[in-house]
Amino acid sequence: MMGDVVRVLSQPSTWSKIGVQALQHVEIVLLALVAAVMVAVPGGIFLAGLKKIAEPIMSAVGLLMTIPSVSLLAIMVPFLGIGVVPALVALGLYALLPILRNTYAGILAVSPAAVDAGKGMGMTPGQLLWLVELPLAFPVIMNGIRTSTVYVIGWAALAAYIGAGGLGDSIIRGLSLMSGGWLLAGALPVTAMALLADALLGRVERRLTEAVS
Amino acid sequence: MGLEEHATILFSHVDKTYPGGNYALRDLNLSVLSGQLVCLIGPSGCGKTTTLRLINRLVEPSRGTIRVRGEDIQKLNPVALRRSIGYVIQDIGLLPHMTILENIELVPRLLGWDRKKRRERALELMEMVGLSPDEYAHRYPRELSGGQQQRVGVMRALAAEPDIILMDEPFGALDPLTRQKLQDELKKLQNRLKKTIVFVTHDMPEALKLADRIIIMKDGRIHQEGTPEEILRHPKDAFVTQFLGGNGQGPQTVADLMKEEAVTVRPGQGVAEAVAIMRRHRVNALLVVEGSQYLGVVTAAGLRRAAKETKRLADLMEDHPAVEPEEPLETALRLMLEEHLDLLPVVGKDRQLVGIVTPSSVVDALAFLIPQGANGEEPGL
Repeated sequence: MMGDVVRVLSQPSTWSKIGVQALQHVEIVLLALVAAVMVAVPGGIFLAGLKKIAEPIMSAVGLLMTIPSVSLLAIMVPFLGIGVVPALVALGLYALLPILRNTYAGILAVSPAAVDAGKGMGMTPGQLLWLVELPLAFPVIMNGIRTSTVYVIGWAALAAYIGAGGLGDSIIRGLSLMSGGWLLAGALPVTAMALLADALLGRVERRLTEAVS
Repeated sequence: MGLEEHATILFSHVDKTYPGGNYALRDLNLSVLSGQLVCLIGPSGCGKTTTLRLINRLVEPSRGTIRVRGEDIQKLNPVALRRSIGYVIQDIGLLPHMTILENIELVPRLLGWDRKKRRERALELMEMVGLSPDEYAHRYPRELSGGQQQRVGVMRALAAEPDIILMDEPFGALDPLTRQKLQDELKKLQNRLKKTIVFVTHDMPEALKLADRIIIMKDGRIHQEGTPEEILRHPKDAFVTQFLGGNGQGPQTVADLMKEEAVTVRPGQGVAEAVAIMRRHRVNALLVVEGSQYLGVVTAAGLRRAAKETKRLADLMEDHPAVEPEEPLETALRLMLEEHLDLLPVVGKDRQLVGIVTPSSVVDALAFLIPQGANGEEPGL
């Protein structure tokens, strides 16, 4: 096993493969996140204005999260076939909830004094949103985006099972060949990516929090 | 009535009901003249903040009409209405992600003033309230003290030069010293700018200090209104009297007013001893106490009448009215000022002496009831 690790990891061809897969991985993650943000942020804002229907919708989305990721990926196949598209849909759905939940909570948590002052000064609902509510909720929204990013980086590895590509390919290869080298070649970059994303976005979040405190 | 037609703010028969039928305001009629600072005051839940928020349509009336500058505000665009009225709240509500300058410029920005004009205006205001633009313009609200933040809050309300300003307990969250300072600054500012200001407070000394007219509210209605002097002179009832003395600022009951260290003598002591004690303490009457039980008063006059006799104080002491610590302040003031008493013993259970009201404690109480020079008038009672 150890011999395999050294052999695989020392081959330049391994790393050129990993490089390509890592790029694919990043691409899948970013696409899923962008889609999730585009749906979840406006959705969260919308729901914050409609508290009555918000709770059932939140729990429905929560339910979605409890479906094991492998099953969700599998469920996509009969409808969307295999490849990048079903993987993106599944990952996007997963990424949705933390962002939706945090946008909703973040908007509701904006200081009532700031909202009252904004309204009282004569802001239109749109100005209130852009000048007061969104900037003040931004650290909380960012926290949701960070959570989703870290999750999706991990889950995207599983998406290789339905042909999405990415670093999951190397992990699957390692598993089927019983090759510790390929397992590590896939798993280490995924782990590093998740840790890096968490650290970077964590910093952004802290900056934002300071800016609105 | 003639005056009311020219009122800057005019409420006619305004009701505000909340779902469930609770009245916040009932048949409110109210007028604020141009250039006046009117204080709305009352206990929490009396409807004063609701009244204020009706003026810029943050709250909509259930019935009745409200006119601002002669126009029915229901027919105006609420956003435009609010931009034409300054608004200051207790929680200040500065936007934390904007600099001081950006905060002050906010309403002019909403109104679409050009950058240069609104920058000039903001800098001018900062100079006016003594916040150096060099030092503060590009700082964020969190870097300022509470008092400085509320100065910015006031500037923000003034920025677009509104003729009307609404202030909802603006100084309520500040420490007493800062509060006084900001009150003084507002007073000075108002003397210069002559805005129409509606100012909500629950602090009577604040209202007495700032207001041209005070409107005391209770249970969603106007309970009494008048100038500070009128209200001080003719409080309508016990509620107002209590409010005037109350607020945890001034004394409300005899207990708040009395002094605990009374000069006492025992009934067995003699006349010479009593005179010596009077001289030492510079008083003209003594409380006769057995154990700690109050028995009566010996006065200088009584001692003089008995000067030649060798009597004990027990024989000379007079019956004298006494009050209990729980009684309202007013009782003690009436006895002292209208019955011309020199002192008033305060007794608790079983006639135990607990304190004394003296002329100087009465003056202390008056100082709370009559603001010192706050209106530039000589108070005469």
